[in-house]
Amino acid sequence: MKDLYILDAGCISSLGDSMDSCWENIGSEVELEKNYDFEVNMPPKLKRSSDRFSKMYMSVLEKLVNNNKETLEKYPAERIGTIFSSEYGPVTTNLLFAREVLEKEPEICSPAKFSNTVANACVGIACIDHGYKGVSTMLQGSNSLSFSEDLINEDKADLIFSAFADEYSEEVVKALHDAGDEPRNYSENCSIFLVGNENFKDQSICSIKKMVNMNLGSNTKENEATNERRIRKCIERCLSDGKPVDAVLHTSTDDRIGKLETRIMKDMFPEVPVSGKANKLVGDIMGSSINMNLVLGTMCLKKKELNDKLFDGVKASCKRILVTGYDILGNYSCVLLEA
Amino acid sequence: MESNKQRVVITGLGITCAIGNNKEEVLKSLYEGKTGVGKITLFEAEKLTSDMFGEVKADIPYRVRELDKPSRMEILTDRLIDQLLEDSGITAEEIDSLDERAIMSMATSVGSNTHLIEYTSDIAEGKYIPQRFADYPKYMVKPFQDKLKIGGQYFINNSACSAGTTAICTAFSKIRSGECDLAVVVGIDPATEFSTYGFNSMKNMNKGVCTPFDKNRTGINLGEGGAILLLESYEHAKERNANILAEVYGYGIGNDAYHRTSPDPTGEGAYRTMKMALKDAGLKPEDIDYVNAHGTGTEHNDAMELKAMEMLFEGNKEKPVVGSTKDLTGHCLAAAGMVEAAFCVMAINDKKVWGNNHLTEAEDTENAELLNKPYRDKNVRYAMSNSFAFAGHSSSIIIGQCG
Repeated sequence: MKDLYILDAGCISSLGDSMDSCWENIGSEVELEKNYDFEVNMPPKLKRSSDRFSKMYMSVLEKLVNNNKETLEKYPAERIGTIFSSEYGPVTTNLLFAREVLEKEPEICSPAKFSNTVANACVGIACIDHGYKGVSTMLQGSNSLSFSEDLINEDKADLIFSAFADEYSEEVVKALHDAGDEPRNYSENCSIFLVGNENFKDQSICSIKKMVNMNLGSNTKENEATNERRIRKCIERCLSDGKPVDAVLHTSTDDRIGKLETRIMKDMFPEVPVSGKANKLVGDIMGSSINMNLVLGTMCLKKKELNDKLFDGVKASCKRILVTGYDILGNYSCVLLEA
Repeated sequence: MESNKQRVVITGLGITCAIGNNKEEVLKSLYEGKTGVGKITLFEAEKLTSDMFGEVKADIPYRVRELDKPSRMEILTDRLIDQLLEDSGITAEEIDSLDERAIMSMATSVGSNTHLIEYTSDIAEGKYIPQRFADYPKYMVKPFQDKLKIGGQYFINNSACSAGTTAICTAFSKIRSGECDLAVVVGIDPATEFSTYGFNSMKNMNKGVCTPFDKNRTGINLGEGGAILLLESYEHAKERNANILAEVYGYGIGNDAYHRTSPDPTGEGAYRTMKMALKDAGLKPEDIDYVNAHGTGTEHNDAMELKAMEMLFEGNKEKPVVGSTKDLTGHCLAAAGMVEAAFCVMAINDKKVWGNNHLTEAEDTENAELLNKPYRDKNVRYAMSNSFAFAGHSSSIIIGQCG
């Protein structure tokens, strides 16, 4: 598989609505467990018919499109792709429509609301607004980059917007807390990467040298040995070129998998700056941590140095960083970024 | 083929839908052109514009309120897994031994909502069961983690009606690139009032059995069910002496960028996606013998799809046979693409093409044949299966005889 190149990235997060604001705000006090404010410019008709979940993607996408206008304009719309993902999807809209259905009066069910319950509505809105007609789909999960990699390598696209978002839902979070989930402070996130093939090497922030994904299986005490074996294998395979990394960025949540991964990182990287602080600084991203971690990792490579607040006071240059994350479906991802 | 690209073959199949609960039953119904669409029995439909639905005929509860019992979706998934293990001859232990080199690719739309829907019912009844809601995405993957022990990446495609076909595309890419050896690909959507009320609000439900590609067509029937395929690299299949049912040759996916719910009427988006599939497969339009069309029976989809196919097959000496099977099964939403891919595999193995069973007055076509009967004998070298969805998504896959 050839390298994939990250030309740019954008986000909505507890740290702010751009990579630069995230970098500046790391370590500052952030508000968690809420919906974050963001601006979005859309044609009025499209804006009116879109829910907040779709607007999150639109807000981040708009900035990326504006920042990369010159590059994007060189390519036909059919060669620009949109591969989006989400764990919970438009859950707020789905709850609203489910409640309309419960009334057992079909005439009160809103077709506009129904059309927003389909998870891929956000992609359609993005494509309609920006005219992108390339490869496109919607995944439940966090692995939009993984499929984007295949599509670029198969020459089905020149550029792809690979996106992830999960909207903060008070109702989901309350259920998670009340269901006895290990304590977390959740935050919402939208992260979008503009990725391309080697033709974009010179204008890229970094390349994705390797991406390895495994499913850890069920997150139970009985399965812990399998969980550990797969995490280690994933990391080893990701670093199979034998070259050292300058840093490791993971998410040390207080749950079973989080604690297991923290122990493994300490064991496998005794000499390398390792940060498991992302979730403490940013919040536990609903659904999946990998994409926000990749934003932070990409920023380190853009700045060519580690963020000392993220890496416990370590200020060092950074050209190669291993980023990991996992999602509620059990997918564990290791991504090797190189500037 | 480039030397580092793996060939991808299909070595197992399972299916459950309105026309049968396994391969044999489904095949019999295809031969007979016997529709499984009828008056829905699972829930009250008298206030809906249509009570016609392609229900799975099996003794499975529609709603399961107990948290510790499997939902309709989970029962259907379990049955498909059992069919796959039997049909492919592979064991869960063999899949487990592949570790990360076995992946899962799934398609569903309302399947992921089953527990969310029950949660809202709980609240309406004054109950609160947070576990039902908190873990709802995890229920879909549990059978593949626990029963099949798939250790590689899990993909779940949520691109509505194109999800089933795209789920196969994702798995195909992963095997072809050499990232994995095997993929369990499944598409499943159970009957729900959620989706039925939703489509009812769009005012496009047919009061009778739908008539795809008929000049007087008046809308869709919904359906439920699913299909499961085992995809493997050709090398891996040969190593374990698997029975190869068909080969996957290539695919295309794209977006119309036109409208939230309606397809681009010019057919350009669908045409581009089908062309991408042909290019990916290294084939020409004249190589396609059979097209399992999306063919929903709506005015807009069928018109668009025919336009796209007329453009694609223009100049062919021999017209491909085009059929929609949604008048037999109903539209199984995210599972439709998987069910229809399974029909393509059956067509290839039985040397048949499946036609349209409810055509009274077929639309005029020059470059494609709308077969007006259940089937015809034909040696299907390559079949194309198309799926088009809300939000402009399109997906086209080419499956053929193992070359």
